[in-house]
Amino acid sequence: MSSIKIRTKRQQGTTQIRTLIAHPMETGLNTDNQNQKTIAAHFIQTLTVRHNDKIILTTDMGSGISRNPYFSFEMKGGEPGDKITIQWSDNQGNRDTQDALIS
Amino acid sequence: MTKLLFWLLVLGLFSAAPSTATPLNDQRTLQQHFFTQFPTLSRQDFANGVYALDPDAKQSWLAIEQFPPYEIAIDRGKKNFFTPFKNGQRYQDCFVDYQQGISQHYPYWDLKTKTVVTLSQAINRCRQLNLEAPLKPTAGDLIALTAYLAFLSRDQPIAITIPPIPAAQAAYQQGKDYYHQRRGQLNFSCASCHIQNAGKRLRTETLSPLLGQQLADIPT
Repeated sequence: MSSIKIRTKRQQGTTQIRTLIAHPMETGLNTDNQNQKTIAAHFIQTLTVRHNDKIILTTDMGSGISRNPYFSFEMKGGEPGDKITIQWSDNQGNRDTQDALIS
Repeated sequence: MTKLLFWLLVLGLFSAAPSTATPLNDQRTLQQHFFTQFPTLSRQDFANGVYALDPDAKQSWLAIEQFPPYEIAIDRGKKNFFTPFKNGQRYQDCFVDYQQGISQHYPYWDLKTKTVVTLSQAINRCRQLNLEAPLKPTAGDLIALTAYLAFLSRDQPIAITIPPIPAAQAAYQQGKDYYHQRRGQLNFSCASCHIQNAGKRLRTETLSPLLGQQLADIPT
């Protein structure tokens, strides 16, 4: 199952894109209650949003973003059937990508 | 623990015991109290809890509901629910009616063990029957499983009955006493906020009425 959920909603002249990503977003400063060891840093570093394979947004993220982060933004234009691709990669080399069609 | 005992109270409120029994009388009294206090709300409105009273909170809630952040947990619970145990059995062998929603029937008074059984306890009993270690009450896996089962029961009225036997009625009374017992730094009881001051504000929060998401199929 993909870690990325995407919802799109067309408005007047714009498209609202919302995404929810399942990710632990560990800062590297937390301690595991079970064994008192520090939990290794594990957070998303880059998030890329493409509209019909053209990059419209990239973010450089740090460890200060909450677990299971949620992003919402507006894009100019957007037609039904257009493809939105969201991709993330984290500091441990994991990555995931998900497509969604604008409805 | 508080939650368990609160459920014991709710267990009482929706008893199908004869009308002379205390739980049913308590329920009528409380319903009358809230219907009088909030005359503009319909019976069904109370199912929305605090959102029935606070339009701003309701707007926020409806916005969140369009893309609920809890979907991740429900997906996790669903995945766990359909993962077979080592002996090949699955949760649905214990909870055959899960598709109709089962969480509205919990907690219930178990006649065999003479205790109140919550949904979490029932899940762990299912695991023990299948020789699996029980899940910790605070563990994410157990919470995700109950979240999934509760989601299947969405919009179903709570359907809890207390059998008319003394031990079960005593459990109801114990929950009720706990609900009215003052405790803590501020010396409040549960009832201080959710019965006596429901609808008022405590700091930034609107206090929800006790008559909340537990509307049952009690004949009116």
